[in-house]
Amino acid sequence: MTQTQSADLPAQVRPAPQRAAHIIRNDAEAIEVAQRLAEDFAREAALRDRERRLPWEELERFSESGLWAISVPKAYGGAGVSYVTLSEVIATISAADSSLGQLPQNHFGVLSNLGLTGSEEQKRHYYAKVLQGYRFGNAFSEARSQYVTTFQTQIRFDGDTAVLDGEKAYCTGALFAHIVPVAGVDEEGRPHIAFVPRDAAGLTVIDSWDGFGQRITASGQVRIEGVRVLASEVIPAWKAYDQPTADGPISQIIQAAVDTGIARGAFAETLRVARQARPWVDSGLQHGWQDPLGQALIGELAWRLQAAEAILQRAAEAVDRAVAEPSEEQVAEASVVVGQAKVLSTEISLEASSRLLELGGTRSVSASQGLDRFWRNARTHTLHDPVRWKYHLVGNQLLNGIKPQRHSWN
Amino acid sequence: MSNTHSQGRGDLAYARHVEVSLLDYLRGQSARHEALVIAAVGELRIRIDAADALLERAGASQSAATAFRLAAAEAARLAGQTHFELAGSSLPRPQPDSAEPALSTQRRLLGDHYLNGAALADEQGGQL
Repeated sequence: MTQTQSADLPAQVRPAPQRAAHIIRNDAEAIEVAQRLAEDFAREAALRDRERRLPWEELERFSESGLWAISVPKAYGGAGVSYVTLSEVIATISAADSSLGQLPQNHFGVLSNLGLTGSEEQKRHYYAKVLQGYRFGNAFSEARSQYVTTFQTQIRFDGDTAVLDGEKAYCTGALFAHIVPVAGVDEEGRPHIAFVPRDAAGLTVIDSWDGFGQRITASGQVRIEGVRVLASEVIPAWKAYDQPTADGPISQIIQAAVDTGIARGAFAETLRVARQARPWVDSGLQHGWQDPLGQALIGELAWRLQAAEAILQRAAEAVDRAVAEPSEEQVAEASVVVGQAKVLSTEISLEASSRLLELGGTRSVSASQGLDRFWRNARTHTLHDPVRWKYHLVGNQLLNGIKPQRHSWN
Repeated sequence: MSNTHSQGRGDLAYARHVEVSLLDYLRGQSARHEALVIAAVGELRIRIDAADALLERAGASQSAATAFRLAAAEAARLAGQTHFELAGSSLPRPQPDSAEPALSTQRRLLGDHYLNGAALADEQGGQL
């Protein structure tokens, strides 16, 4: 629809991709492309973090690679990869730069919701855009609500259009997006998602994110002031939770994959710095890498990382089963196993990123190396939702037979 | 079955046995609805499932087998601790069939493997 373009946009903002994206054909290609891009992204990850250099160019390469479209179903021209593959792609990118790994988090969540609640025409329209290289951001979390699930942003349907008003926070990806999906509730309190062009009048993305970790995600605020879209640009997102679907576990497993990736990256760096570390004077050893106490710490990290990886894969398989057969049982099972993956990935990302500095010694805290970014990133990203309630979620199903509530955080 | 597998399977079986006993006990208690009790039960299940997931991969390499062994030991340790804490008693852990290197040694050997590429020996002493 015709709108007045919002003023004061960063020069890099584009309402559409500049170049057509490559189309990835299958799971194997997705993994191979992710590994190649991860090598690229790893090279300046510390520099980007230190300078808080927003990754405009990297994101162009990321979405042009076709990886942002890998969950588009085969029937719509995408690769329709499994969630085992999607999780591996996210973990691979996150090991190199977890901010870049986090940025498509909500994009994939929106694609899932679109598939569950969009009309046939909407699916064709937006899947085609994503295959062209469009990036979705998000304006979901409310700035002031009591619970994360309580939406205050309003959507009013007015004939064949809808108008949104509200204020959002933690809007990862919105700054860099071509389209910003905005969640708002109708008069009956039901959440919808509106696909708002990044340059729409009334939509203001504020680069206010100053978190000490995930520094280049630009997860700042979004103001939505009388933003008008066509009703055909709105999907009834609430329907994904009115009945059992895999939407919640999908949203969560991407989080676990990011944290598993951080742990991988931290563990790899731990091995590097531990090989270079001096032996302790009391050890009687010639080299730091001979240190039995250090070796034991590394062994502890190694098996815990393997456990997190193994459970992440199980969780992704459970999500794939819930996608294929979204019964109450399958969806609850996916939520529980994904909850386990959240616990283990949270634990190992924090542990590995802390031991990295311990085993590297004082020289490893030199700001020029930027090794603290792993812990800062792990600590920041794992705060997305409190993992202590994942132990509870798993235990409640087991002990009391109470299935996880259905929402985007389960 | 390797010795590492056998010891790990023993610990995993013990952890599962303790979990069953704990759930039986708690289901007769009002404490089953307390958040901390529920979370403790959840944590134990997560350790058991982590060990089980590693068991599936344990045949792939000696490092995978060692990872499973250490995960199973943690599940067993936590099971005993959780049972003591929530049910007020301990369940005896069966003696292993055969001796194995101390868990701390296995942890160190696994670390040496990752850090320095040291080969991990199987239970017969062969290099894998």
